[in-house]
Amino acid sequence: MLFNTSPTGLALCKLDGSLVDVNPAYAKILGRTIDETLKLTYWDITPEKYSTQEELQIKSLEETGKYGPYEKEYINKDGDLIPVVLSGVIVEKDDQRYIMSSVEDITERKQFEKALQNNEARLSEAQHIAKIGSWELDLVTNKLIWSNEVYQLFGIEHQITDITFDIFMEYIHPDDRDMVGDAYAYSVKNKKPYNIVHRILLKNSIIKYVHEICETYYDDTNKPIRSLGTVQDITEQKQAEDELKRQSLELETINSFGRSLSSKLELKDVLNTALKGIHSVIEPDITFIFIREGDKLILSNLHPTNAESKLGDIPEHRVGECICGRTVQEKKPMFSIDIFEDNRCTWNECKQAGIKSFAALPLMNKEEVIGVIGLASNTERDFEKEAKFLETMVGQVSTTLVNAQLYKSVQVELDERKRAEKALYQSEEKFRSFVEQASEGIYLYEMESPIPINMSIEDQIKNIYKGHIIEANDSQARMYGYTTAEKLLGVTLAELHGGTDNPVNIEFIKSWIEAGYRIAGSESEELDKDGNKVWFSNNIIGFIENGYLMRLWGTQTNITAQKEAKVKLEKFANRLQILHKMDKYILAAESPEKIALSLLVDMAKFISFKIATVTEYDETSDSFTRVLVFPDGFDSNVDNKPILTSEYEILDLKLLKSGKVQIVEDLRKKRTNYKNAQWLIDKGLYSTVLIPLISEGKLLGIINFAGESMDVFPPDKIEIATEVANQLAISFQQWKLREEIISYTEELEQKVKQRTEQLEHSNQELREFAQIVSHDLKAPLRAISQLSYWVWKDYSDKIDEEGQEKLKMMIGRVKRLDNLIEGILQYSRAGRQREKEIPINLQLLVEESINLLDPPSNIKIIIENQLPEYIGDPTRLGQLFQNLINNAIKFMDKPNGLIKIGCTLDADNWQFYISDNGPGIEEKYFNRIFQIFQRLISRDEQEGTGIGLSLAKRIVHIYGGEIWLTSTYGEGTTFYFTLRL
Amino acid sequence: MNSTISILLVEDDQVDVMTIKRAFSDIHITNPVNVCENGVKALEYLQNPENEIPGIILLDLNMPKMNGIEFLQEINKDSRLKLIPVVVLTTSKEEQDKIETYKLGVAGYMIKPVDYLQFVEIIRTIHLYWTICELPNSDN
Repeated sequence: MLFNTSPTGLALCKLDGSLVDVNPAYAKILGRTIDETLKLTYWDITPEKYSTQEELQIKSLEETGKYGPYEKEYINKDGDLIPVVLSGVIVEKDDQRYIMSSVEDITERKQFEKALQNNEARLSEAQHIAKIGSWELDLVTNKLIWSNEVYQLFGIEHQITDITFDIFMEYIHPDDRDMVGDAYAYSVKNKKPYNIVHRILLKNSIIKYVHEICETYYDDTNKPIRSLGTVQDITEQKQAEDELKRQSLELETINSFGRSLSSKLELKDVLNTALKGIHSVIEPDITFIFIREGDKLILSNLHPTNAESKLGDIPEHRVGECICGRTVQEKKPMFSIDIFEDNRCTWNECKQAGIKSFAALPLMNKEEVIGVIGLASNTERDFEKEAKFLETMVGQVSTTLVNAQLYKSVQVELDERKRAEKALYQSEEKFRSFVEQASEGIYLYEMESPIPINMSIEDQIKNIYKGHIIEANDSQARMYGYTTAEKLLGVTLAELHGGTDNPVNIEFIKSWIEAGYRIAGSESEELDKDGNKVWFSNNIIGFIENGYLMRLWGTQTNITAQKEAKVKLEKFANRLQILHKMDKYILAAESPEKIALSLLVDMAKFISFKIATVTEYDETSDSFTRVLVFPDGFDSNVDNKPILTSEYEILDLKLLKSGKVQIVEDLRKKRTNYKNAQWLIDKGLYSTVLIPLISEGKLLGIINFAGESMDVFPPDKIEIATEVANQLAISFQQWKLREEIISYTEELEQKVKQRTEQLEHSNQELREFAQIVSHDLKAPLRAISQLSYWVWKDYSDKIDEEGQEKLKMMIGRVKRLDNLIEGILQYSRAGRQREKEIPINLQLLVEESINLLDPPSNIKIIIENQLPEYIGDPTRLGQLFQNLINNAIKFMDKPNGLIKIGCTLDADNWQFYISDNGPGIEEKYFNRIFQIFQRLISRDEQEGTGIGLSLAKRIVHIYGGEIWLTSTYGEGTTFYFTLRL
Repeated sequence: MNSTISILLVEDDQVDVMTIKRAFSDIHITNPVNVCENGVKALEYLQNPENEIPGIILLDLNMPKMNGIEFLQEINKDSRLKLIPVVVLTTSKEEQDKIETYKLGVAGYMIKPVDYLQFVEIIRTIHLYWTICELPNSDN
């Protein structure tokens, strides 16, 4: 009984494998009936691959009397393999040994196992891909288990460290530690899952952002036993988000700065906006702008504004000084990560204020640096990483500075625009009060005949125009210029609308029909009784009876004034825009042709001309030369060969020279042979407008617009074009002046070069002359000197005393001549150009000069204050002091001589003095003593060449100074001279 | 100074030659003095193997045919001649002349004074300097 009902498959078989008995469960495993099964042997249902295993099991049976349990597979009726687990024992029956086996089908279990394996593999893979790790914290043992991903994420070698909650906390970014701890504690206490983002700080100082989700499980007593969680690396996502935020902030900054340009016109405010923008994006500690004035940099803006108190007084920087000054000099941005290590930074206040990193960016106008934007950070920052954004902002700020001037001029235009807006507002006011006083026009309009509403809209409109006014109030009549309502009765809509083809009105009626014969506030363009254009705002209701439009009721208000003001304003805005653009073009363009081209591109947007040419007029040859043809450029018909005024048949030169616009309504009527007129006619361009370019009363050229008819040149557009032309003329003129200046400068430079060459040449000649004088004049002199000396020496016994005396005098005069030649040479050398100038310590120079002069012991020389350093030629300055001191010594007549030397400094000069208590000089000789070869005392009394003071004067003049004296005859003299700084 | 070593005087002015010779004798310098009246002659003299290499050259700058600076440039090309010490004796106070001659390796630069006694002092100084100075062996 048990055998048959057991859910476990049971089988009895002989030792050779033939089955003796099986239960239904067994047969079911094999997918057969019991009878079918009993025909099989054990080996029939065992796959070949298990044969070795089977033999082992049989061996085990023989030795121990049992086998299994072990897993294998059976072959079922369909030939499929069924996983089973089986075990068995030897049983004896009728002295016969049988094997009793119990078999269990484990197909399902196997499938589960496989699915589980798959799932785990997939989970692990998914976690890996998503950078998600999982963890489990046993709150009883405080043991933390991490998945591989968590280890990877935290940068810890897998399972080398025993992880605990405390170790985990160590890896959390210090700033986030409390937050994570609190969040976890809150989650455990309130039984709510926690879901947070925090940072972790790895051992290699890398910061990662992670997203953690965790849930805690509790036992029956509500005691938390276990937390399960996932942790996902969202660093890249976070970085991408940050970058996105940062980029949008950058964009917003650049855009808002752009917007601020048009709204705020105070330069300081605009720069402040820029500065704040840069500050908010880069987040340095201080941001500032220096504006260049000459070689000085003046602080213009500072952000935050309290930074000044921190820095103390920001002194003026000079070009070339410190990092900001060098940026100006080298015209390129400079970045310093550590100013303490950077020898470019020479300004100690920065360092004292705790600044660490620094960036300076030059604000450029073309090639010139006009200012500097600086950023400073108290912590180490590499501002160079922000270079791209900074360059954009710097470019904008540069443009702003350059445009500041321009905006000032535009300000005037804007004021005018504001006035126009105000005028509009006032006219609206007036209009409103008018409406309030006089009520709206009200009228009833009847169709000529009922109009079926299923008729096409076009036909309906045609029929509506045929109807007429049957009732109206006085207000309505007044709107059309009639005094009473009666005058309006019977008037058709076609009459009021000035025809049936005004697209504005057709559109208005069409939309009324489409809206179900009901419309409010729709505009129509109509004519009053005198044929003037009037604009109305309409409210109309149609009356439909049995599918036919019968009549309509309408109310009207006159909005002409409002409408006209609006058109005027639009025109004004157009004009302003193009003028504004022109200023920009002038600022940016490299040539007047380019300005003209840019302007034509803009003008083409609102004047529908087909061809425009810009022509330059040359007064001397009385001819015109095209400089620009828009839009097609030059071709075989339109070239840049000069056209004589006489050839230019259609042209009215006198009119244009008077500054008036020449309009040729129809070229065909001119009946001209002028080739270009014919060319325009061939293209179907019959109308042309010639606008003179006039500056300072002179015709510089013309802009010539050509179009199909005069319709494309309404007066208001010609007016704008004229304004533009005036501006263009000014820019042409400026350009010409500029070119003249350039060519003049070049010419001047050439002249300077020539003169310099001439000067060098004459200097060379002078040098050669000095050479000749010194050698050729001195050689014979020396010979005379020596020969006479030898005569005196060798023949003294043969020459009497008188003869000897004369020889001595001869030698003396030769020496005097030698001194004179030497003096002349010095004087001529001193007159040469300044060369080889070096810094000289005048104190040392004067001390040396005194030593060299070796004054006698009765003369005391005092240098009263420290003499300065001066850049000059040491030989010349030595001669200057020596000559003056030497004079004071030489002419000293007092037993206790006192010579005083000193100097003072005024704005442009050093002033020196050399005073003595010698004989003094009479005032009448003050001029004479500076003349060459002039002496006050005969040579025989006092040897001298008469060159010393004139040489001194010459040297002083070379250094841009003056020399003069004061003297009291008999008491002493003071010589003063100045040297230019 | 070895009184047998010869002195080469390159000078075109007769009186200057007389002056120098007289100054030599006044301070009892007995070395043989050979005179060449310009650079060309001096070069010929030096390049003639029959002539003894002088112990010192006293050189004037302003001379016809080949001036002192050109002469210095020439002897600088000859490894043997460039070892001879040269003292310039000239009237030129030009800075340029001083710079160029020193560049060409002269041992000294003296301005000829007008006064004979000062001239003697200069010759005495040259002599003194030269006596103390160690010179390379002319056979090297």
